[in-house]
Amino acid sequence: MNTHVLEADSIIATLGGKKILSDVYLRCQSGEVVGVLGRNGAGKSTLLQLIFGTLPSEDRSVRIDGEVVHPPHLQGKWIAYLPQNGFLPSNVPIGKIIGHYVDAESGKKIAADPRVRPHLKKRIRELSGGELRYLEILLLVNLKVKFVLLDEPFSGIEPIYQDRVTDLINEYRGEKGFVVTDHVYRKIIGISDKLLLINQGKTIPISKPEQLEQFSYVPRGTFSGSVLPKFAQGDRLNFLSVVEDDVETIEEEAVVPFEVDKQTWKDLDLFDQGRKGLVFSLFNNVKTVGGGDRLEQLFKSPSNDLRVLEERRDAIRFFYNNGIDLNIGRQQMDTIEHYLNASIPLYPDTRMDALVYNLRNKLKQTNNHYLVTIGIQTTVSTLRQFFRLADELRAKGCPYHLAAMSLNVDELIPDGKIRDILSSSNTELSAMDMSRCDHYFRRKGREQLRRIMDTIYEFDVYQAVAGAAQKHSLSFPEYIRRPLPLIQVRGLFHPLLASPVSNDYSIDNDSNLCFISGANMSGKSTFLKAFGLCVYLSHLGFPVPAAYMETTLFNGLITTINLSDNISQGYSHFYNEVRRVKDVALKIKEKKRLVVLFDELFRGTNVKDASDASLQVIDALSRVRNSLFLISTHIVEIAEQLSENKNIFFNCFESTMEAGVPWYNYKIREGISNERVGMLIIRNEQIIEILKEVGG
Amino acid sequence: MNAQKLSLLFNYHFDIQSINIPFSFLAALVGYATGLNFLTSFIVSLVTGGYFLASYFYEKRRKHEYYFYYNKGFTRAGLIAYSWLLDGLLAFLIAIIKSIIR
Repeated sequence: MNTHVLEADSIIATLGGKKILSDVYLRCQSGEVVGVLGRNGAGKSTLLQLIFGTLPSEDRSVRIDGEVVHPPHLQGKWIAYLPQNGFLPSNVPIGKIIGHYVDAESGKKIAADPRVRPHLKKRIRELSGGELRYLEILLLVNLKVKFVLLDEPFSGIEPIYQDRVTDLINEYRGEKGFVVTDHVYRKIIGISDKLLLINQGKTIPISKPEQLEQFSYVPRGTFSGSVLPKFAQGDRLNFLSVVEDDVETIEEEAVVPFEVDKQTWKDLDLFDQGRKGLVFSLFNNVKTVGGGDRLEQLFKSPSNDLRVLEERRDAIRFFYNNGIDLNIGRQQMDTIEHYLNASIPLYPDTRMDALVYNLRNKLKQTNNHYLVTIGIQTTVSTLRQFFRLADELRAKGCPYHLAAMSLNVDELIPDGKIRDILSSSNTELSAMDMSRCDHYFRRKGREQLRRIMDTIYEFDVYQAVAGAAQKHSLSFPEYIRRPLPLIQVRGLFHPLLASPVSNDYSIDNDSNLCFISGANMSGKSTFLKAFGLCVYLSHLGFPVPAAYMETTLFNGLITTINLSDNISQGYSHFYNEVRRVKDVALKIKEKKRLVVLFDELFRGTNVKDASDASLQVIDALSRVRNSLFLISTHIVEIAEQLSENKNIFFNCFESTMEAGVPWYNYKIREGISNERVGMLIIRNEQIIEILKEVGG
Repeated sequence: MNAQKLSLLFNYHFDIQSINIPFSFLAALVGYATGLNFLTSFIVSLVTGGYFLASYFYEKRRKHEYYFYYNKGFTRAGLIAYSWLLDGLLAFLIAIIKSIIR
């Protein structure tokens, strides 16, 4: 086989006044596959069309074996080109196309191909996407050309045909050179000998897959987290199998859910009054209805999946640090939702019908036309806005999770014509553009559009939570990877208080039970609630009400702060308490790592029983080293007996008496508080005097 | 030009004719109704308005199919020129037949 070399450089291409290619060098020789990657709009197709010669250029130089060759002499002799949208005539039977196109020998070979033979009498429109792509490539590789340019041979076809296309390229790579571009980057990487990335108009040789992350073409961690074989320049970049294996390993990891119940939500004032729950309201500054739903969904789904939590935390922190503004409002999204859900007939899909429909409605507009027009225009402008935001996020070096989401959004609209409409700055859409968009948004691309909207809602949540973090001085939790439990917080406060007092606090497996004492109104319950909120919010990946927090991950949070009786089930307050303690014991028995908060344990029974029960239960709980317990009580008499247990440590809240009035500093400190101000408070409120007055 | 290229050219030409001939026939009917000669109107339309319209619709609706021909070494200008010449030939033949019949 004679070796030929195709070289292209000095290419300048502009599109809509914007220079999209300016510094290009591409070299491909016979027997070689050159993969070209790049984001949507980077200029991949433009480059291939410029090389092929069907797109005029300000400047281009295409050389074969060092000799400059001009387009008419390239096509059909040196180069064949597979365009994105197919090229076979729709009205000719496939058997006849083959006869028209390739020499007799190749024609027989193609006709005998088991994947083509059943379709010889069919026409192109009767083939599936994969069958058509396979046939197109089969025809091109059988032409007497030296190089084949393939524009998106893998996109939009089922995996089995992707593999067949790969096999076809591998079969013919011995006699031809291939330049292949596609968004299915793993396939491209898998078959390429050389890889180029088009970034900001330049072709960048990629020698290591991690470089694709540096240029934000793929999300961070796609390749850098995996163990990849080394490859030198010129070797095939066939590390796909390793990457796929790595992905499977991650997917296999089981995630134990984080358990929380309605009593805990109620205790922490999260959802006490439905969606208008006090703490939920602090974060609920979303701009869209869908954002509100997503926030509620996230708020009700705490997790202990470290990857999920870190990704969400980092995404919110990025919004927080960069002041990202979504600039997409409630009315916009409501209009799109209404447009997508309205049962209005689709815009006519032929040019003539669309024009007539448009003209008729220009004379007298129908309600349906108004709704569809407004819906399409709003959807287009919102998508344009969101794509710009996605670009902005990546340009600012956003974290992995956001980069992955914005890249996914970018890939969700593969339709070239819709992308052209979305990338254009033209605000006036023609009747045909309206028709294309309507058919795409409400039929072919409906699912994709829904996913983009979900991403917009997710970003709305991130923006709202970042705003709440700024407004309420919240901080982002750090997650510790260690087998035994630990929580450290500095500057812990309750976010619902107007002038909160902050506390530093630490608890770990060595001293896993905190016995908290203090006078009435000294701040015990508020402290427990603030601590519970920190634990809960950190397991959402949200910022927490503290200056700093580091924590290991737990399997659940159980609080008993505002427990009441249950009349409907006939449970007294005490029995409810007992059931709650039993519930904790059963969950611990399942080897779950819990954070348990009890406020005034066994307050629903007599002092003697409460004392005995508290003593035994606290002592037993302290021996469960993989969970953390914070228990507040007024029964300080048992403290002395518990002090022998090294797992228990004692904290208290102080109060001082000034002129018969108790004063609290709400600061937690080591020790036990014996202060009793209950009677004093009752006296100060003059309850006895009122009752005596009533009783005469 | 070998037989394979010729068959491709005819394929393109027939695609163009699928619009050109019906339109030219319609134009001839209109011409006839307004007092012009039917065949003359048909011939004129075949190489002017009918051909222009057919090329325009092909460009708009089946532009991607040009790559079918590019990959075999045809240029767009070449295809249009060859096809127009074939129409010219057809028009010429009709004109001769018309003059013989007369």
